[in-house]
Amino acid sequence: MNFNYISAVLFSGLSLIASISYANDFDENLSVNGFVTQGFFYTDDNNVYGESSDNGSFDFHEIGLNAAYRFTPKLRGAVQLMSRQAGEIDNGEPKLDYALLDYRFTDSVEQAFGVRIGRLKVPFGFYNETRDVAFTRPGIMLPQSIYFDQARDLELSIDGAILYGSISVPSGWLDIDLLYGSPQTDTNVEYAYLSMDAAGKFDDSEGVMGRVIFNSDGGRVRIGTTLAEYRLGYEPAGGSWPYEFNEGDLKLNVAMLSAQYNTEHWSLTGEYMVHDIDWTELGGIFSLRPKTPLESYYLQLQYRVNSQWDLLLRYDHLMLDGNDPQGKLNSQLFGKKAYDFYSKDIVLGVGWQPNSDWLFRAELHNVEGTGWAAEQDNPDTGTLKKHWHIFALQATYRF
Amino acid sequence: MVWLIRISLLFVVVLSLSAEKAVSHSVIVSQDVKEQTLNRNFLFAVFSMRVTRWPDGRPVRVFVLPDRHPLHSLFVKQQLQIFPYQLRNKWDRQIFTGAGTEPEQVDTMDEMYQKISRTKGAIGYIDDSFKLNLEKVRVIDEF
Repeated sequence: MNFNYISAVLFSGLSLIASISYANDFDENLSVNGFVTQGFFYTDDNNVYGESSDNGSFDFHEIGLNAAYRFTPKLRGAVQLMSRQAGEIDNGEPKLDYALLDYRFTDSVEQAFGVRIGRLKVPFGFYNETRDVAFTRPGIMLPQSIYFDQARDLELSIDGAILYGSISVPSGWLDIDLLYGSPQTDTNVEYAYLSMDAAGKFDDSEGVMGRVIFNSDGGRVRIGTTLAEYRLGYEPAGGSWPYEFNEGDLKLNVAMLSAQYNTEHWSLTGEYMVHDIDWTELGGIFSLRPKTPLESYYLQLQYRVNSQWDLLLRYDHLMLDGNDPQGKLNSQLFGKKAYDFYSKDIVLGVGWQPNSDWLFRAELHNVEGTGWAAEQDNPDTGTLKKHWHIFALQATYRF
Repeated sequence: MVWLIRISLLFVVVLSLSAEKAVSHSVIVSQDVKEQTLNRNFLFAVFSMRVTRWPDGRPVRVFVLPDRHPLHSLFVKQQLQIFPYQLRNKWDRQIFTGAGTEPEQVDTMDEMYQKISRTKGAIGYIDDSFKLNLEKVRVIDEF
């Protein structure tokens, strides 16, 4: 089944319905929403989202527009267009973020089940599905150890199908998502997993993912786990060492634990991930160390002062190789600096929401290591500094 | 003596009635909704947009006041026993993943009443000071 084709048909169909419904004044089955975000980043050393270490970078925006339509009580359709400019990682070109049909078989408190097909957001951890929507983020930047921006295309959306459900269990309910499809694999995925724009490309890819979240006491306690297995087929293009690899599959396995505790003023959130990367079939430069367990976690405290102000404190730790947390062994093997193989980020942030349409944020990062500093924005990786700071500002408007 | 007791009793009854009246806002539904009572789990599932149909299969149409309206806050805390920001997070997650929608927002009590009286399968809540025409909407719960 060609899911790309389904997405395209869905998209044109839904836009047609949206325009007709708008012409007909008011249609209670249609809803339209959107947002515009502009960011500013300044770093003392190393770059994020553009040339931030010079005079700061305004090279960051996110614009999204979505429409949803309820055809029948059981069948819905939804589509979102997204433009994202983020330094050298994203160029602002509008993309189809999701386009789906959602059919819900049963719908009761005890159990609700349904299926979604088309282009779907990837249900990974607490934040991945809405990672580009500022209003849903606990800060300007999500914890980069887990939601790293470099591999975003892989994590963003997938063409396939999700079986979803919510089931009542003693003292709460379970939210369940089971996903199968083909992920998007563009050049950024090569940077993330091959550290370069390789000669060939990832072509035929597939992934399965499952996420279960247990919600207790109306969501005061949320505990979740995500398991995923991706297979990215590499197609060589006749390049030479070290820019070329063998034909074969890059295998990715992810296991993640998520937990959150919510009170009226406080939210305490933590997520822990082990991400096994297996380059064995690709060989090339990775023959030196064909299997690596990437390991990461963060702990985050949010304090809502009142309905307008909130504060954020976070510690975020990435180890590109969990068996080599200081990067010493990898540094010897690959001739890079040891601090290229990890990142420790302490984040302080403040948010101000003067009304329900506007949100402003400011954030300070104290970073050790360059494990998630994007090669695209730092082409000369040899000059990356070990200790660096990020100051970020963000304004966002929703409608 | 009997008179005195009767008068005091009457006084107590009137007082307690008015005291109760002062705090009883209403959860209201449109006349076509068949349910006679709703438990907290169902109310919570419906307002968080997790359940989208009435037991008879027709769509639920949820109406709410703005996030920061005092009555919205009171309703969410007392009836749903969560906090308004949690509800907002749930709605946003659904809107921006295509998994669902948010309730329709109204700005005044009058608009709430009008919408619920005119929309099939509607549910919302209203302030105790608002004069309801019970031929047009039905009170299904109080808080």
